[in-house]
Amino acid sequence: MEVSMTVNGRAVSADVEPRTLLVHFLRENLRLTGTHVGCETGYCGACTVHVDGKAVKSCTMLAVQAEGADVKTIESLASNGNLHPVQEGFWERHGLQCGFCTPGMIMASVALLDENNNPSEDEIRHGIEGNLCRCTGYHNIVRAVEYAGAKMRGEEPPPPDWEGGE
Amino acid sequence: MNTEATIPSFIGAPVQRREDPSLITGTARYVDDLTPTGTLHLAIVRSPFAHADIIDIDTSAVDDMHGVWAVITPDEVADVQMPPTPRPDRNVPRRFPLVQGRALMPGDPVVAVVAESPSLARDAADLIFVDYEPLEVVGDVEDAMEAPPIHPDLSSGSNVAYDRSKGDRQAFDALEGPIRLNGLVDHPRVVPAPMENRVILAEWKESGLTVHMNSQAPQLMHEQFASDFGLPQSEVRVITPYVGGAFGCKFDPAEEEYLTIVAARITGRPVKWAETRREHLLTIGHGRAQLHRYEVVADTGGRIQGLWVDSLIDLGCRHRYLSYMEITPRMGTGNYDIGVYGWRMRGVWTNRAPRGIYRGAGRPEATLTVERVMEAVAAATGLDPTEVRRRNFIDPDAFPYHSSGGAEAGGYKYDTGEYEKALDKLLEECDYEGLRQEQAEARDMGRILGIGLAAYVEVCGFEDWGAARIQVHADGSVTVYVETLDQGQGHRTSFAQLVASVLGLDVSQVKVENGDSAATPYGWGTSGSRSIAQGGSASHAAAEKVGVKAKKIAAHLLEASDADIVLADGKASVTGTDVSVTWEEVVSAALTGNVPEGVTPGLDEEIHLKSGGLNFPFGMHLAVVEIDPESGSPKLDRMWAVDDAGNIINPMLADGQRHGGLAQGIGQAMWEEVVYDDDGNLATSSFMDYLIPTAVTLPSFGLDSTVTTTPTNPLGAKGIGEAGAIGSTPAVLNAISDALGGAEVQVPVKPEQIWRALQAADLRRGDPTDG
Repeated sequence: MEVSMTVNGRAVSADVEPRTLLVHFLRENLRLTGTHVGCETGYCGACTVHVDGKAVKSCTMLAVQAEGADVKTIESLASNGNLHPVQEGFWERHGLQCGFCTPGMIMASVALLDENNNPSEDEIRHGIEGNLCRCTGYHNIVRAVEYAGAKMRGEEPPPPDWEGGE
Repeated sequence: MNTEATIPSFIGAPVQRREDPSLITGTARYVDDLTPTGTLHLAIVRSPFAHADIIDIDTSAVDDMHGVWAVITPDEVADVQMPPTPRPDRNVPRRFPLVQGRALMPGDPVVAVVAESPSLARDAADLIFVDYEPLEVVGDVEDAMEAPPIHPDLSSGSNVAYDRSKGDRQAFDALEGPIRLNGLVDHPRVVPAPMENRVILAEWKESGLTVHMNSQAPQLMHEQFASDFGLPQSEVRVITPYVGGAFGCKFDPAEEEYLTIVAARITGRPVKWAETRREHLLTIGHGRAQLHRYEVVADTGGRIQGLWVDSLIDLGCRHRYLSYMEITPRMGTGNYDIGVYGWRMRGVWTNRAPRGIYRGAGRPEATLTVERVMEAVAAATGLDPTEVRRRNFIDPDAFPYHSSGGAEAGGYKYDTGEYEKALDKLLEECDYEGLRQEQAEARDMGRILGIGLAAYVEVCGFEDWGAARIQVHADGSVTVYVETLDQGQGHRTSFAQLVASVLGLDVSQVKVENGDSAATPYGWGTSGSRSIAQGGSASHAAAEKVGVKAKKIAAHLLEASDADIVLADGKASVTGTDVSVTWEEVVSAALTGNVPEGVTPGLDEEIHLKSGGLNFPFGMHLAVVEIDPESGSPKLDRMWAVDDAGNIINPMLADGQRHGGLAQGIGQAMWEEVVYDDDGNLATSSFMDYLIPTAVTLPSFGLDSTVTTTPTNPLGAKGIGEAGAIGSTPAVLNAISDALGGAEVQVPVKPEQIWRALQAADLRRGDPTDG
């Protein structure tokens, strides 16, 4: 089946099997391997991308369902070498270890902050509930999103809580 | 000469991670991101039965299927060697890439298919017909001891693969007491479940075998594959790029790795196998899987006189990795000075996935049991849980201390420890008295809070040597090749800090490479929290060798004495003067032969460094839980940890390790459990059923630390990777038990267990509806 969409600002089209999942279209057809697969039940969120501005688990959607859509993946988040505040937050606040859940976690966090750039800790935790991380215990992911929220509001982010922090 | 003051040191600084820019932009490559042109994909037909004879395999539906390159049946891999080395006389069965006639667990691999796409391989696998004759399933570990053996060819003639014991039982029975208690502590199976499943990409080239895999120990895989496939090690290369977490489960190779290598040999093409999450939950080495019965003898003052632990290990259907099996009894007395200690340990075959390595690997089991023992003694004596621990802690002056019954009972020699200091810090940090008051006030208002404490000590630094090689490039930049393997710990940063500090360079000038067996020195990779102690120390020592030579060359250039040269700020300077040459000038001289007499050109160094033994980090964890009185649902409200891992290279990274460990230990206490049904089917085969912690089920953590260094390595650093997962499980379990008035509870403490305990407590008090 022919499918066409915009991915990271570029028009793409391909002939795919109808059963092709969006995540496989991105990873295998477009070789955008920043989006990861961590389970096959739509539970872990490692495959989270943006479809028409909304965070979507790309393993729960067929590529053909994204016909005509505007899809953004982790590869498009930094612009002209400038990190998105959420990427910066994850780096600054050690919000990642192995990095495997990170692209999905970042895309989910961007969608969360796009809706509410001043979330409470509880709101952050609920906002990323659909994304599993096995390394960080989420502690520093919450700090990373808090950092990004502050940056997006033009405020000074809270200091890190490790020894020797600012 | 004292140059300490002038050397800028990155050691102890929270340096931002060097690996993050590629990971946060999606440009880092994991194995599954690599698909060379012509890659074929492997899918596996797995047994749906836990225990079944294979009557017939019919592959005719796919033999001529377009796009299918190979169908591999058990006969074709009957001569493939794989670890562990079979020892029928010692009850170690042979393992094959595909089962030979009989499936021993659900998900056992039966046939493999190689095709041009992953979906085509799966489609073809689904068309293969296998006729099974189901056999009686050996499930429960206690029943298994009496059941017919699942390995009838082994010498034992039963499912008890080994039965070992140590300790002086007569001395134990003669103890005065008067308090004698016994209890049961269950350690159900859990799954490592890193977010990245296992992936392997194998290719046979003219030059030999090249394997990309997400391994914790690429050098060991290199050695193993060369041996098993009859190649000289010079013709094998194992490459590990970024690894998406491992937690022990990517240490040793399994059936699928061998199948993929065989498939690549048969087809002459690169072949990839990417484990699904279901396959991971079904077949990966499950952690814990022990059942402990303890007996403890104490005096009325809470001083423990003796401890005896009888443990059953649910081995599953085969051995994965043997040597970790005795860690639990060898760590059995934990942080405590216990006069008489003994143990019995029986390993038992069952029709379940092999038991494997999972974060802590033996220490969490030892700690959970001894910390339940402490609670039992506290309850029996009426002492506060903090007090009973204080009265039994090993005295700081007693180190080095021979633990767990001493050498005769196989105990380890602990290096250093100051347990009471860490406990005091924890109690101050969490305001323990305030918490107890809060708990009492809450109870008056009908709310149920529980407070749980756990002490832990663990053993780190196995294979007590590490290796690293430093290459100094012509432009002065430095590459460190190290045998340990990062899976998210941040070695590319912390090891760069060590090397940069020695050479007086910026961290950005030092690149750390791991994972290419053709480039890194031989070593055991990353497991058992050995990386800083072994790989870090070796990197540091290699840098010191480079530094010594660089100073000689700088002294030659500056016509000074090398004893007066200081490496700092990218320069080699004569101490106390402004006379210097740049690091780049020193490197240039070294590489062009402008060196003093007796010094060889070049600056590269490799070192294989033997450490002074194992190290024993420790700490104290405390959990506060709240129980919903109606549903029994527990909520972890607060969690503190005071950990002591000696000198910390990067506190930001160390905190991250602690957070992740806490989360996994909490998961084990509250949700995580591999469940098989009565027919031996796996009931927890997706993340819908196997519940790992989410962001909403965990609180933020309160961390603090003490620093007790170790003399066993030049950095004075102990392991930190597993600590969190060791203390948190008993802390949470003890908190839930505390909330229930000291009720007997087992992990994972699900709401039903708590609800039943609440009902029982109410019944003891009389009519629950009465006032």
